[in-house]
Amino acid sequence: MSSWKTRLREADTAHARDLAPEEARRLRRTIVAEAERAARPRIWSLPFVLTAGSLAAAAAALVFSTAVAMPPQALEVSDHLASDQADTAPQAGSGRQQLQFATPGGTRIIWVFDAEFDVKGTLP
Amino acid sequence: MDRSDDDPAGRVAALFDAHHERLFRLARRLVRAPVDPADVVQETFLRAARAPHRVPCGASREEAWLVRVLINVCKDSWRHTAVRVKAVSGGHLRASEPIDPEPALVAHSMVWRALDRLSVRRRAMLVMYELEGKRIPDIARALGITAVTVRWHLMRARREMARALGDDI
Repeated sequence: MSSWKTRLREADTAHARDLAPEEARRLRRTIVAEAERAARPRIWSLPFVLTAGSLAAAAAALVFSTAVAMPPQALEVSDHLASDQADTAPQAGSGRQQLQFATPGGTRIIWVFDAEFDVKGTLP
Repeated sequence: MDRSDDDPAGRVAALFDAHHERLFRLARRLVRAPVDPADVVQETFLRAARAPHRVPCGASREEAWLVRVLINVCKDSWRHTAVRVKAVSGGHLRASEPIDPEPALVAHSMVWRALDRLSVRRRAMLVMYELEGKRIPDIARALGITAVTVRWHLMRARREMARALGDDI
């Protein structure tokens, strides 16, 4: 046997000690108590759920009230859209439709829908 | 339904009774001063107590699980304590704090310091093979790795120990 193995075993023997019975009992008590604690249903879960539910309801109410009270600018755009819907009527014999609307910044946008448009025809 | 669902505290108590002595011996050989091996054993069983359903059934499988957890706990403790062993050129060790002048104690201190230079896993393999007399396939099974990997780590561990202690392999 090589020397370092001998020295390792000697050092291990010199260092050897067992867990004292009293210490083992203390560890066992701590560990069993922890297992019992972990197995118990958590009593904080009900208040936690109630609080989380209340917060979620408050957030939903806030979102709803914001959606109902739309800003004037958005209403204005809706008006634009409503007024421009008349422009979407198909022009007789043209096969095209237009949709015109204005952005909140004032840019007027006109979409032209071509019924004869062929995507494949645009490919090289 | 296994026993951990019925009576987790009872299962953990049974685990402790069955394995605490062996785990304490292993912890004693793996920890670095000033960590108390009893603390490492306690933390290992606490992890089992917090999640008893994760401990596999069967004596050898639950022991292997506990050994793996213990090695991880040792790794954590190594991270949290300052490493005081420093190597000098030539691969021999220099004590960073005074060593007891009695020759036998000096020799023992050198051995423990050499062990401290190994990684936790490699040290665990060396301890299980050289001091606990475990066979390589058993060590591989306990650590969840292949026997080839165990052999490779053992070869490296022997080389590191011999170099640190100035011996032949």
